[in-house]
Order: sequence, then C-alpha cells, then structure tokens
Amino acid sequence: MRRWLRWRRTPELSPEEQAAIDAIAARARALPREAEPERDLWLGIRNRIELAREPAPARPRVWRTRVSVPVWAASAAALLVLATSIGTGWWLARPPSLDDPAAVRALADSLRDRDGMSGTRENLLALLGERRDQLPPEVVAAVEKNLAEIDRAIAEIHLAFEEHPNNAALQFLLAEAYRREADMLEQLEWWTSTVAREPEAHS
Amino acid sequence: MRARIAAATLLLWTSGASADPFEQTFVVEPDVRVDVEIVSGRIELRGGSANELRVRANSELRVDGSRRRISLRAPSAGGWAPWAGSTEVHVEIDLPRESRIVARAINGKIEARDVAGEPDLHAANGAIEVEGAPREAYLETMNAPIKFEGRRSSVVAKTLNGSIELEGVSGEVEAQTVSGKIKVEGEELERAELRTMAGEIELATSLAKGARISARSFSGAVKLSLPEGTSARFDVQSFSGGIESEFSSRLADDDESRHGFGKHGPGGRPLSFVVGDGDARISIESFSGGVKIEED
Repeated sequence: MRRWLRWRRTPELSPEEQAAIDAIAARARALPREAEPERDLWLGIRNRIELAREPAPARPRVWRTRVSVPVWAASAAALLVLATSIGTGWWLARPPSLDDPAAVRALADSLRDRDGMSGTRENLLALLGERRDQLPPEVVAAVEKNLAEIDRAIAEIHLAFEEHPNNAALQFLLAEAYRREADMLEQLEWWTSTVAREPEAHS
Repeated sequence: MRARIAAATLLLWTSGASADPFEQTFVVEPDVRVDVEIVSGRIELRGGSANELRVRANSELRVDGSRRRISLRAPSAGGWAPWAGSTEVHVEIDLPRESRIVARAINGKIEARDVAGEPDLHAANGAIEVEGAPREAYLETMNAPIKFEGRRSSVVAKTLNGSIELEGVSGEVEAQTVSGKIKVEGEELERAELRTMAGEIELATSLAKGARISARSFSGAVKLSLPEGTSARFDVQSFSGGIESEFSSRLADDDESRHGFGKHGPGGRPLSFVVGDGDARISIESFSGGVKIEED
C-alpha cells in the first residue's frame, strides 16, 4: 500500500515505465468483456456504472512531473487495478438474488418496462389499491402472492434469456406470465365491479 | 305443500321474502334458469327428476322470477365491504337436473351435485365442487380449489390460488391457475389448454382425432398419460428439466425411426417427435419442471 501511494504521488514516468504500463493497458483492452453488465437486465446498475464513468474534473498534473518507481512495481500496480476492475465488473454483473422479493419485483418491473408490458401491472395495482377493501382479505393476500409468483417467473425467464436468447419455450413462458397477469386484472375487475353493485342489488 | 306450489305457480312470484329460516318450493320448467347469489356462506345445489325447485336457507332470501327463470339472493349488509359484516347464509336448492345454474358467492363455497345442465359458478374466496353430467361447465374462483367430476363434459375452470381437479371431461377443456396443481382425467379430448405458473400438471386422457392439447407450467412438472395407439405429434420444451417418453416415436425433423428416446437433459432445447400418424398436436412447455409422457 505504501508503494502504491508513493507511485500515485510520483510526478513522472520514464519512457520505459510508460511503455510497460501502455502494454498492460493494451492487454487489458483486448480482454473479453463478458463481465460488463448487460444493458437490458441491469439498467439501474448500468446507469450507475455509466454515471461513475462520467469524466471527473480535471486534476492537477503535478503528480506526473516525475516518477522513480521500478517497472515491475508499476506493472504490478497496473495489474492490481485491472484485477480490481474486472472483479468489480463481475460482482456487478452476477445474477441477482431471487430470494429478495423486493429485488425480484424491481427487476421484474424494469423488465416489464423493457417489454412494453408494464400497463397491465400498473392497472392491476391501481385497481387493487382502490378497491382493496371490497375484497376478502384472503383474496387480496392471494393476489399479492400471485403477483410475486409472476414477478419471480418474469425475472427467472429473463435471466435464462441471457444464456438462451432465442429459446422459444422461454418466449412462450414469458408470454404466459404476462397473460396470467392480464387474467388476474380481468378477474379482479369483474369481481370488484360486481361487489360494488352488491349494496344496490340487495337493498 | 301443494297449495304453496300452486300459489307460487299462479302468482309467478315477483318477490318473496320469508321469515328466518327460509323454505319454499316452486314449480318450474325442466330447464329453468336459476340465479343464486350470496355474499358469505355456502350454496348447495342438488339435481333431481322433479320439475320443482325447493329452497331452504338459514336466513331470509329474496326470490324473483317465473317458471322459466328464477333468481334467489341473500341480502347483504351492504356498504363498501359487503362481505365483511354479512351473515353466513347457507342455501340448499333441489332443482331439476337440467337446470341452467348461475351461482355466485363472494366469500363461500359452491357445491353442485347430480346436475346435468350448464353450471356457471363463480366464487371469489371459496371452493367450487361439481359432480354430475353437465354438457358444459364454467367454474371460476380466485382463492380456492376447483373440483369437478363429470361425464364427458366440457369444462372451463379458472382460479388464481388453488388446485384444479377435473375428472370425466371430454371435448374442450380449459384449466388455468397461477399457484396450484392441475389434474385432468378425460377421454376423447378435442382441445385442452392447461396453464399454471407454480404447480404440476397431470393429464390422463385419450385423444379425439385431430386433437389440440397444450400444457404449460412455469415451475412444475408436466405428466401426460396417453393410451396405447395414440397418434400425435409432440412439441416439448423444458428449460431446466428433463424430458422422458415411453412411446416409441420418431423425431419429427428426422426420418430415422427411434424407439423411445429416453431422458433428455436440460438446456431448453425443443424436442419434436411423432407417435403413430401424428394427427393430434400436443404442445408442452415447462421452465423448471420435467416432462414425462407415459403410455397406458
């Protein structure tokens, strides 16, 4: 660590040292980029990464005025940076935990947006929020449980798409998940509208 | 009793409410349409041979109608959540077997026995059980199981949270749930659509010529039992489960005959194969459940 700090503070690299670091950087650029997060699945994370990549304010160049670190130390430091970057990318790109319902729901919501299918869920939640008191609590609980099941299915199917982007079975199953959501909306609409007219019907 | 029936027939009762408990008998047509609605409680329907409709309930009912159509409703407490403060109403109805029944309960179970008409039953938070020989039945609930025992009946059964069990079905069958198992036993099925998100699917049936069968589960296994001599083309996909068939078959995209193809590993690869002449079409998709096709 001490050497690393000293290297960062050293003002200038010798031509040999600069060449060694350039070579390492070139190797880094040639590495495969699988660890980079996918734009579709990881929109939020990607946005954060891209925000982090925005150019920082220009820093004073005094630290480049001179350097006296040996080539092997500079190379080791550059490799450490490279390994840290790849490790961070891998960490960010790893599959999300599907054990956390809130995370699954957030992921499913972003995927609905991407698929242009968020309207049904929005309508369903609006209807449930508006008329929740008209339904037996057990039904509300069942609807919410099933919404979570559908969220999980959508999330899992999309994660599977990452490995099998053209899999027809996944496309069928994804369509089915959205269809179940639409069915739930239809049933809720039917029931809440009939319950709403109950007092009049039985007066 | 006779006097009551005659009076009811002559008056074509427009409205009638009696003191608690309620019991009345009406003369009706053999195929009378019967509408029953309660908020909370239980509806029991029993088919019989007499052309009369006999109603018993543990509380007041409102009755409207004629010999051809009769409506029975249990008053609710009203208000924004009528199910909440409503009394439990238990309605028992003996009716002609061929009656066309429409029943609705928000918070209660619906049972129909020995019916042969076309029951159309809806419950929000209650199970539905039907036994008889209806030509067609439409059964829908949101938070409970559905059980149907028919004789060559076409059935549509939908629930959100509960299992669906259908026996004695034929012709066209549709079963949909989000969380729950689907089990269907039928014969000469022409068209079947079986859908669940979280649950297994079991289908045991023979197929009509040119049948179209589709079974789709997200996280459950799919098991089909078909009789020897079945003729169908299968399109099967399981993303992370295996596929197994006992039928001698040949791959649909390959002329080479294969006598059983054993287990296929996961990976979501579609598998199409033909049994017999392949005139029926069977489509199965599952995400994390295996697919097994048995020969009876």
